[in-house]
Amino acid sequence: MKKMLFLLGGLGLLALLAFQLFPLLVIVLTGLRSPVSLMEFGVFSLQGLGWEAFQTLFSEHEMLSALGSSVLISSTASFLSVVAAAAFSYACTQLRFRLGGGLLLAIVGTRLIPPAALILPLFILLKSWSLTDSHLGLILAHTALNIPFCVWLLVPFFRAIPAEIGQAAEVDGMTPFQKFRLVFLPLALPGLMVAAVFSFLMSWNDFLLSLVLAGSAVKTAPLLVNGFMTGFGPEWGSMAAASLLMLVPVFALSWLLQGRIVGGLTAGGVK
Amino acid sequence: MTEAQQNNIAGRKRGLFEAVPWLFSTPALAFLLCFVVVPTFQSLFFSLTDADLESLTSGEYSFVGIANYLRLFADESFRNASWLLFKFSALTTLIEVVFALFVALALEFWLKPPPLVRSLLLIPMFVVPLVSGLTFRFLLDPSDGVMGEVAAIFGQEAPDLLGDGTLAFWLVVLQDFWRMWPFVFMIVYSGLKTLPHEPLEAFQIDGGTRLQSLRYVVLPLLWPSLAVAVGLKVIESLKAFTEIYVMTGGGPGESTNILSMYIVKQAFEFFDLSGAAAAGSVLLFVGLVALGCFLWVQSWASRGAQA
Repeated sequence: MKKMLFLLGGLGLLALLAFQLFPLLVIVLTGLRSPVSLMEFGVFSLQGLGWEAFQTLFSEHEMLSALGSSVLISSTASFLSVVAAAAFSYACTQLRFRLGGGLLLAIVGTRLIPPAALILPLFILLKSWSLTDSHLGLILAHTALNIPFCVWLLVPFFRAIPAEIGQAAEVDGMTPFQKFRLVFLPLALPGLMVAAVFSFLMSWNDFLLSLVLAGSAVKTAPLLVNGFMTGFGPEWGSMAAASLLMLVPVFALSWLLQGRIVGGLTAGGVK
Repeated sequence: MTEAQQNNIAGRKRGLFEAVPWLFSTPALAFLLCFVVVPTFQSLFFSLTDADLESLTSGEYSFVGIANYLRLFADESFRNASWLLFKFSALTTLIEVVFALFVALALEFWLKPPPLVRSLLLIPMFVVPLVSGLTFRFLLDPSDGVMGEVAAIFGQEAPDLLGDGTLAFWLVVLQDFWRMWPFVFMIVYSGLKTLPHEPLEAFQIDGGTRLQSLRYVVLPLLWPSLAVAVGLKVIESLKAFTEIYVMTGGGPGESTNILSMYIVKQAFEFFDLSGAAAAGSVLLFVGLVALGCFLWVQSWASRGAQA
C-alpha cells in the first residue's frame, strides 16, 4: 500500500515535470526551424530543424537593433538604479538620518504599486518633456521603477555591515563620501551584483512600458516579439525564435545568480 | 576643553552631518519624486477633471469633481474588470500557495528526488511573461498552433478553447500557475529548509507519526514563510498585465479584461484620459491596501517567528 502510494507520487511528479517542461520544449522546437519547415513538418518532427529562423530575424526583422535597444535600456537603468539605491541604503542604515526609517518605508512601498496604475501619469509626464518613443525616456522610467526594489534588496546588505567599520574609517579621517566609495560599496558588492541582475531582468521582462512609452522610433525586443502577432495571423515560427533570443540572457543571468535568487525574492521578507 | 565646549563642537558636527544623508539619498528620492510621486498626484488631479489627451496640452479642461468615479462605478465593464482582478488574484494565490506547499512537503519528506528534478520544475519562473503568454496562445491555437496539430493527428477539428469566455479565464489562470507556482515554491521551500531540526526530532522520538509531525510541527513553524508567499504573490497578481494582454487581449468579449488592461485600453484605445486616471487611482488604492495588509502580515509573521 505504502509502495503503491509512493509509486503514484512518483508518477504525479513526472506528470508535473512534463507539464512544466512541455511549453518550453514546444518553443525550442518551433524556434529551431524555418517557417516553411514548420508548415511542412509541424512542431514535433525532428526533421527540418535548423537556424534559418534566426537568420531571417537578423536580416529582415531588425532583431539586432531591438535587442540592442533592450540591452541599452535595461543595463543603463540597472546601473543607475543600483547606484541611486546603494547611496540611499547607505544613508538610511549607516549614517545618522532622522527621516531615514520613514523614507525607507515610503520608497519600498512604491515597489508594490501596480505599473498599470502609473503608466498613464508616466506617459503624460514623458509626453510633456517630449521623451516618449526615446531611449532616454524609457531609461528614466525604468530607473525610477527599479529603485524601490533595489533599495528593498540592498538595505539588508548595508545593515549587515558592522557600524564599527564605519567608525574606524571615520577615525582614519575619511569623509562620508570616501567611506561610501572605499569601504561600504566594496563590502556590499555581492548585494550590488544581485540587485543589478534583478534590476536588469525586471526591465528586460517589461512589456507595458515599451508598449505605451515607445513603439515607432524605439522598438525594444518585447515589442518586436509581439509584432509577429499580426492581423493576418500570427507568425509563430519567428515569434518562437525571437522568444528564444529573449530568454538567453534571462537564463544566463539566473544561472549566474543561482542560490541567491531566493534571497532576492524574499529580501525584506523574513528577517 | 570644558564639557560644554565639547558638547558644542559635537553639536555643530552633528548639524553638518545631518546634511550628508540627504546628499546621499537625493538621487533615489529625486527619481521617485519626479517619475512616481508627482505623476501620481497629477493623475489623481486629472481624474477629477474632464481632460483628454488633446485638451491636456492646450490646458482647456475643467474640474468635474467625482463625476469620473461615479461614471466608472456605473460602468459595467469597469465593475467586470475589478471583479476579474479580484477573482484572478484570489484564485491564483490560493491555488498556487496550496500547491507549492504540497509539492514542497512532498519533495522534502516523501519523494526526495535528486535536486536536478527540483531545478527543472522551477524553470518556467524565469520565462519572460510576454513569452509565457504567447507560448500558451500558441499551444492553444486551433488552426496553426500545437492544438491544431495534435487534433489533426487524430483527424479531429481542434476546439477553440480561448474563444470560450469561462474557459479563457481559467486558461489565463493556468498560464499564471505554470509560471508562478515555482516562484511561490521557492519562498516556501527556503522556509522549509531553514526550519530548526530539533522540534521535529523531539516530536518523532515522542512517537508522533510523519503526518502528525507535519500537522503539529512543520506547518505551525512554516506560517511566516507562507504569509510572505501569500503577500508577494498577491502583489505580483495585481501587477499582471503582459501575459494576459498577449494571450487573450482581454477577450473573448471582456471575459479576461482585468483592471490593468481596462486602464490601458481606456487611455490608449478610447482616449478617455480622465476615466483611465480614475481607474488608475482605484488600482493604486487597491495596491496600497495590499501593501498595508502585507506589512501587517509581515510584522505578524516576524513576531510569530520570535515567539
